[in-house]
Amino acid sequence: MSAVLSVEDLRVRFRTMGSLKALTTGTADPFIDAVCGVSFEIRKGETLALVGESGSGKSTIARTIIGLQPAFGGSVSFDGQELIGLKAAERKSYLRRMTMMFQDPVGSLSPRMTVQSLLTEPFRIHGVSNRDPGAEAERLLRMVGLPADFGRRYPHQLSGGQARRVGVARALALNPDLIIADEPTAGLDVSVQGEVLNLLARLQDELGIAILIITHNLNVVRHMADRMAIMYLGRVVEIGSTESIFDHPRHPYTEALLSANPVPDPDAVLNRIEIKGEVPSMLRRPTGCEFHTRCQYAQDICRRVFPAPSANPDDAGHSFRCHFPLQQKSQQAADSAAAISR
Amino acid sequence: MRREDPTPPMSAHPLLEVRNLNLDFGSPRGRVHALRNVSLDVPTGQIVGIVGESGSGKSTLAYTVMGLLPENAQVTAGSIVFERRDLLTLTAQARRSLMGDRLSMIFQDPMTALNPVRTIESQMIDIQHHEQRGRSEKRARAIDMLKRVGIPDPQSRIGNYPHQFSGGMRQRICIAMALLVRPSLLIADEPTTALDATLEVQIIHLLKDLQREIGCSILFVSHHLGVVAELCDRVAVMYAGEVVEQGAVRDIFHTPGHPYTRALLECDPGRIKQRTRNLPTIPGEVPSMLGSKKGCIFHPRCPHAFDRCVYETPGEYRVAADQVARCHLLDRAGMVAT
Repeated sequence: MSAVLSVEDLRVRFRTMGSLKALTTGTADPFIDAVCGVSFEIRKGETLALVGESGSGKSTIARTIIGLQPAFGGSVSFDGQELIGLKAAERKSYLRRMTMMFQDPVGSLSPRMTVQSLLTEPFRIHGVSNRDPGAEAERLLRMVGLPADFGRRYPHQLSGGQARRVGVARALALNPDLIIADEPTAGLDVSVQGEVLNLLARLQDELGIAILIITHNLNVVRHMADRMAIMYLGRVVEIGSTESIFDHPRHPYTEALLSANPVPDPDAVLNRIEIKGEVPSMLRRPTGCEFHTRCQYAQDICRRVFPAPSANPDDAGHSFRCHFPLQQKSQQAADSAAAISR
Repeated sequence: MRREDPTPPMSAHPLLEVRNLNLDFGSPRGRVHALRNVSLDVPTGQIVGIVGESGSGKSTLAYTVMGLLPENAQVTAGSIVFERRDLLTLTAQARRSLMGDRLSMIFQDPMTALNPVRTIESQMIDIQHHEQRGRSEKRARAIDMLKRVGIPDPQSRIGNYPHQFSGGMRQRICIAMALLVRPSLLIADEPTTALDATLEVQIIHLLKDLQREIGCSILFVSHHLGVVAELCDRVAVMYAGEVVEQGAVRDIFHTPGHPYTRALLECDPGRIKQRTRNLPTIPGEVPSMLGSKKGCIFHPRCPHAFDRCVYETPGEYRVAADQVARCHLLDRAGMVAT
């Protein structure tokens, strides 16, 4: 199947100081690389999750894809069309087919518009005038399981879960091929979280939409995503199918992130890998492998050489950047001797 | 000063005893009954978790104990006995002398819990205002505590302002400040919600270590079941302003007695190991807390509700030796005298 969205070597930079200050302080490069050579693709009907801690550049990627943030380099192509460098007017026809659900469910709805006008706003923006707004709003509300009389409500009259449903309905208004969902469950209670995820899964099955989920909630990823990409300091450190990453993480950061997920069972056997310290600042990126400052397996080479991506021998879709990848459980016994001599 | 006095043995009494607490908020549409008949014990040296969804009243309960309620709040009945004194009948002055000495609190958002225009040093010295010590001694204690919570190079960092620290570091500073006064009860209102998963784990372990070291009790408010399971000794489950079930953490997580607790645990995707596209949910909505309620608060959403649930408010029934739940289904087991 062809890719709906393919992102290649994407780079996004933010200026940290004015040019005058850079000149007076002698800073040659007054930028930080928020996103640093990220590549991935999403096929039709597939869900990819971008996972990482705050500040790892997940939301910046989403904003760059839909054009809220200029890219510094690389390529974003949607259905074969390069989007980077496109003028706003040319971009608009692609924005119809790719919509974004923003993080804050209530805050992303204008407080002075009714739900009906919020739902039909995409039609007005994209000049679709041949439809009856009332009927369209009703159709969309029914699709996400809300009663039709919700069209007259204002956002403050909705609960968090209802507002999120309106957000989903709005994203679906123009029958998109791709939905970018930035933290779709943030701020929702567990009982409501399940509803929203089930809704997204159902609509994906019915309409064949591709979804890019941005989240730090690994429980969500496990049930929703077909593939996942783990981000650290603006780079993808590991990417592959959700099952293979959950079962056999190869990068030490992934391993730590997966084990830092408290299980609601007081007797859970916790083989937790706790990582020390905090995410380093992007202003002072560590040399070599950027995770070496917190990695328990770090060796000398990790401090010097940036690891090239390598793939699993039996699963080419699962790749990672690490000098000393974790052994796969099945291979572990066979390879333990080799690991010691290494 | 007081601390050097020999303290009477209080093991028979819990450190904090909340009894039949009722609290209303005045609103233009009528009175909102935010807490109804809440009873809760925090034994000495234990960590008690309060879990519930948003709007269940768990933060309101924490703020009521701390006396940090807005003006439209009114306690209509009940008592909060802390170290054998009812906090609700204390004078404002007596109550203030407890805060930041015997009682202290960690807030949800480390970004706004510190004063942005003052250094960490001056804030950490200020919080020791109950202590009769010299400034340099207080500063040394502050540095000690910062080292204890894992702030690197505390000698020089203590002079920094809050904006010079990251979120995780700021939450560590808040914990250091709250425990610097060696309280007997620490109230933590969702202290890890604003933090990333790897930091969350670090902060939980830090809290547990410090709790053991200082020997204080913690009232830990959270909506994250995994965190509560890992940290707490006892749990109270709240729903729509009521404590529907409470008991030892193992009992609650392994053999939940109340249908709401069961539903809440089933909803948590962390417990579902098998990948599914159809996650369990709790159908229906949290009821409005306006006006008086008859019957069990959970009956409109309860899959096992029967006639009695609609008209009779359930009392507390014993589920296990150290576990009680408010559900008519447990009637056979016999009611607990409260």
